[in-house]
Amino acid sequence: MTVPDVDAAVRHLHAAHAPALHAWARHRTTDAREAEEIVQETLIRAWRRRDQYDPARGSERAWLFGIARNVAIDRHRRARHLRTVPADAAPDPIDDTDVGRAVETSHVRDALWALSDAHRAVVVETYYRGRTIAEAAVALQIPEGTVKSRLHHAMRTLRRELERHEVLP
Amino acid sequence: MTPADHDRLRELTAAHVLGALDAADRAELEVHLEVCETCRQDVVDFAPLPALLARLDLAEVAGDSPAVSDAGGLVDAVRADVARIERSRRWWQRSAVAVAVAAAVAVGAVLFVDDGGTPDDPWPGVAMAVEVASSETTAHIVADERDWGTYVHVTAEDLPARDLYAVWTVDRSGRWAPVGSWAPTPDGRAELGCSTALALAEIDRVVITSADRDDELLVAR
Repeated sequence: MTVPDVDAAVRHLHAAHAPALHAWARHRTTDAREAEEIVQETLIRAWRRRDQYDPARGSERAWLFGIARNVAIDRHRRARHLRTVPADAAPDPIDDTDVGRAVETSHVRDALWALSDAHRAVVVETYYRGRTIAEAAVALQIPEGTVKSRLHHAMRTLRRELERHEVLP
Repeated sequence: MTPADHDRLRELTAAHVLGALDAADRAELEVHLEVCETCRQDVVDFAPLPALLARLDLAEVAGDSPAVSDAGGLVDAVRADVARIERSRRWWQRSAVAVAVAAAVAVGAVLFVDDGGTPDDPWPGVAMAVEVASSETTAHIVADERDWGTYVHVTAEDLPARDLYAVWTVDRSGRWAPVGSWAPTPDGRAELGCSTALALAEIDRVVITSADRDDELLVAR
C-alpha cells in the first residue's frame, strides 16, 4: 500500500466512524481528552488489525465498537495500575448486548445528523422539545404545513437510513 | 375525501406517531386511518422510531454538529506505525539471510529460511524470519507489539518428534523465558498464541525446543 493509499484508507475510517465512536466514548467518560484518546486508540488498533475484519460476521461499525470496548477496558486497567484512578473504581461493565445497542444508537445519531438542518430542526422541536406542530411552527418561524411536510419527510428518511444499517427490519 | 385531502392527512402520520398533533388534527387523522391502508402503513413504519430517538437526549441533537478532532493525528500515527513495521520487517529479512548464509558455510547445515510476511497474513504484526532444524518443518511466526508487551502467534507443522514442545523468548541480554508449550498433535500441526511482557524490540529471538530444552528445533528472529 502506498502512502497516499494508506492516508485515504485512514481518512475514510476516521470520517465514517470517529463521530460515532466519540459520542459513545463521551457517554463513558466526562473527560473530553480521554474520549478523544479512546477514539484514536480504537482507530489505530482497527488499522493494525484490519485483516481480521470479516464482513460476514457483522458491520465495520460493530467491529469497531467491539475494539472500542476493549480499548476502554484496557485504558481503565492501565490507569488503575498507574494508580491514577482509585483501585476500587471498576469501569461500567460492557457486554456484547451493550455493544450491539451502542452500534444501533450510533446509527440513530448518524441518521439524525445526516438530515438537513431544516429537517432535523422539526424533529428536535416536536420530539425532543415536546412541542406541538403549532408551537414548532412559531419557534422555527415557518408555516404549520411546512412543519408537517418536513416532519413526514424526515421520518421517512430516518426509517430508510435505519433499515439500511439493519437497525430496523 | 379527495386525493388532496389524503395527501394532507398523510403528512400528519409522522407528527401523530411523535405525539405532536393537536386534538383536532388527531381526531381527523384517526377517522381517516380507519379507511386508508396507505396511511396506516405509514404509522406502522414510523412506530419504532420514537423508542430509537429516545436513546439520544436533546443536547446531542440540538445545536451544532458534534465536534471531533480531524483525521490528521490519526494519519500521522498510522504513518509512523507503517514505517516502524516496514523498518522492522526489512531488518529481520536482512538478518535472516545473513544468519542463513553464515550458518550454512560454517557447519554445512541446511537451513530453510522463511522469507517473512506475506501481504495476506491473517495475523497482524511482524512475520519473523524462521530457521528450522529439519527440512520437514514448516512454520510461520508473527510477533505483534501490544500495549502490554508482545503477542507471538506460532504456526508450525512437522517438527521433529518429541514428547513435548516448548516455546521460549530470549531477550537482548540472553535471558530465556517460557511462553508456551504443547504436546504432539496427530496431524503434526500446532497453532498457538503466546504472550510476553517484553516489547518487540526487546526480543532477540523466539525458540521452539523439546520440553527439556535439549535441542533447538526452530529459531525465529
